[in-house]
Amino acid sequence: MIGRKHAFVLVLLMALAAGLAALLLPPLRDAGKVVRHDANGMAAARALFDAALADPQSQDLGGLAAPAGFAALPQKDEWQGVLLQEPADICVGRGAYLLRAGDALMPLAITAPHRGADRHTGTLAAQFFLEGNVVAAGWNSAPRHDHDLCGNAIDLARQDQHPFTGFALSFAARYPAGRVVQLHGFDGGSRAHVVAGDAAAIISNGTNDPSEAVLDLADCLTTLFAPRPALLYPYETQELGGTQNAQGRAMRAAGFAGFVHIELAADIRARLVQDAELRARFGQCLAGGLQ
Amino acid sequence: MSLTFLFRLLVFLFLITPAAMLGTRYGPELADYLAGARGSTIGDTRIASRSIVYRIDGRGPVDFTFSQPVDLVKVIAQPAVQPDLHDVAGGVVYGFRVDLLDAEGQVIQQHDIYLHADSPDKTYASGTRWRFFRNRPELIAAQDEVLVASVPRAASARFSALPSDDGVVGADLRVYEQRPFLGQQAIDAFRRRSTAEQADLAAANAFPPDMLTVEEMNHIGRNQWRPVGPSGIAGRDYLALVLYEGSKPSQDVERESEPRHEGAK
Repeated sequence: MIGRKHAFVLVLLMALAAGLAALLLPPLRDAGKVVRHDANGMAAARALFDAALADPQSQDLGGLAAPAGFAALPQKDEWQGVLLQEPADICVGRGAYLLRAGDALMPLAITAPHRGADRHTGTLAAQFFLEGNVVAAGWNSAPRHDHDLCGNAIDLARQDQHPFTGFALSFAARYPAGRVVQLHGFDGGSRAHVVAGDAAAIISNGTNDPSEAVLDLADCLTTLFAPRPALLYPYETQELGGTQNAQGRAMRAAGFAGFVHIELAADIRARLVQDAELRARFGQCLAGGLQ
Repeated sequence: MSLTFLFRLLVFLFLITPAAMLGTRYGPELADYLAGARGSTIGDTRIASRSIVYRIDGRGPVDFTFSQPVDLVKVIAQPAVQPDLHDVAGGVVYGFRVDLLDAEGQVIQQHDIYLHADSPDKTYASGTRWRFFRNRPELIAAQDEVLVASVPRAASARFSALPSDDGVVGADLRVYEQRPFLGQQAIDAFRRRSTAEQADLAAANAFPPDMLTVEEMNHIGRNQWRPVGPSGIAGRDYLALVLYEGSKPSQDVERESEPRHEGAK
C-alpha cells in the first residue's frame, strides 16, 4: 500500500516531471528554417556528442557546440548533465539532446524523432529520462509535417546526415552493449490489418530478424499490456517495422545491435503519460537485460 | 531344401517386399519425423506468433471478469508438462474447474473439465505448428479449445486447478469473450477487415468473400472473439507467461500470405 506521504511525493515528482517536460519541449510552431546537414555538419555533431557522452559536464562542450549549431546548457538542479539544443530563436531542426552525468547510469537512450506528429512521444521520452537513470534522450525540434503554424518540416527518421543520426552513432560507439529506443505512435484505425490496428504496441529492431533482446522486450511488453497484444515485427505483423529507419540502418552498419523501434497506440501513449506506475514498468521493460 | 524352408522363405519375401517399398517411399520422411521429435519442441523453428497465457495450478484460483455479461466463454488450454514427459506414452490428462459467477459474485454454474493431450513430441511431429516457452523448462502438450455456455449470463469466470497426471505442472489458459457485434455492426466489422483477412475468415465457406451474402457476413462478423485478462496483480494474483507458436520452415511458404486474426487463435 502506498502511504499518504509516498502518494504526495509521487504526485510532486509527476508535477515536476510534467513541468520540466514542458520546459524542455518548446512548441514546434517556434521552429525556424530547417537546415539540411552534410558530412561536415555530421562530423561536427559527432565530435560534440562524443565529447558530451564522455563527460557531460566538460567545460569544452561550449566550444564544440557552436560549430555544430548547438548551445550547451549545463544542468545542475533536477539532473546533472548537459542539454544540447539550438540557440534560442534559431531553431532549425537539429533536435534537442539530454545527456546525464553520474555513476551507474543505465546505458539507454530514449528518443522521439516525431514528437508533435506522434502525440505524447516527446513527453514520454522526457518523462523516461527524468524519472529514470538513463544516459540520454533526444527528440526533434522541428515538426515532421508542414502545417499552418510552421512551414518547415523534417522527418528525422529518414535523415542519414543529421545530428540525430550522429547522436545515435556516438551513443552506439560509447555504449556498444547499450540500447537506443525510438518511440513512435501509430493510428490503429489506419492500419491495413485489424490485428495491427488492435495492437497496443509493435516492437522491432528494424530488421526481419529480431534479436533475443528484442524478444525479451516484446515478451515484457506483452505481459505489461495484456490482454491487448504487443506485436513482434515481422512475425506477428508486417507493418511498422522501421526497416528503413535511418538511425537503425546507420547503427547496424556500425556494428551496433541495440536499436529498438517501438510503435505505440494512441491510447497507450496517453495512459503512459498519465500513469506513473505503468510508465515505471514500461521503463523496466526497456532497461531489461542492460548492465 | 526342405519344404518348410521354402515356405518360410516365401513368407519372408512376402513380408520384406512391402516393407522395402514402404521404407523406400517413406524412409526420409520418417527420419525427419524422428529427428524432429527427438529435438523436442524447441527445434529449428520460425516464430509464427506469440500469445499470453495464464497458469492455473495449485497457487489458487484466477478470476477473469468480462466486459459485459456473456452466455459463452471460449477457453484455449494446453498443459505444461515437465521436460521428462516429452514423449510420455498415451499423453497426459489434466483438468481445471470453471466457476461461472454473476455480478454479485455468486456461483451460477460449476464445470469440472478434464482434457487429454498428446505428448509434446507427438504434437510436434504430427502437426504443422507447435508451442513452446523461450525461457522456461516446461514443455507444451497438445492444445484444446473449450466452449462453456452460461445460462444465465456470467459476469466473470473463476478457474482453479483439478488433480492432473503426474508431471503436469499446470494448465495454461487463454480466455475469450465474444465481441459484442450485432446486426449491421457485425457486417461492418467483417467489411472493415482487409481482403486477406476476409479471405481467411471466410476460408470455411465454399465461396470467396466477395460472394458472401449479408447473412453470411453477419455470422462471420459475430463469431469474433477477444481475449480477456485476469483480475488482480501479475505475479501476486496470477502468473502470466508468453507462449510462442512456431511453424515448421516448410510450412512458411504456404502460410506467408495468410493473415492471422483472433478468431483463428
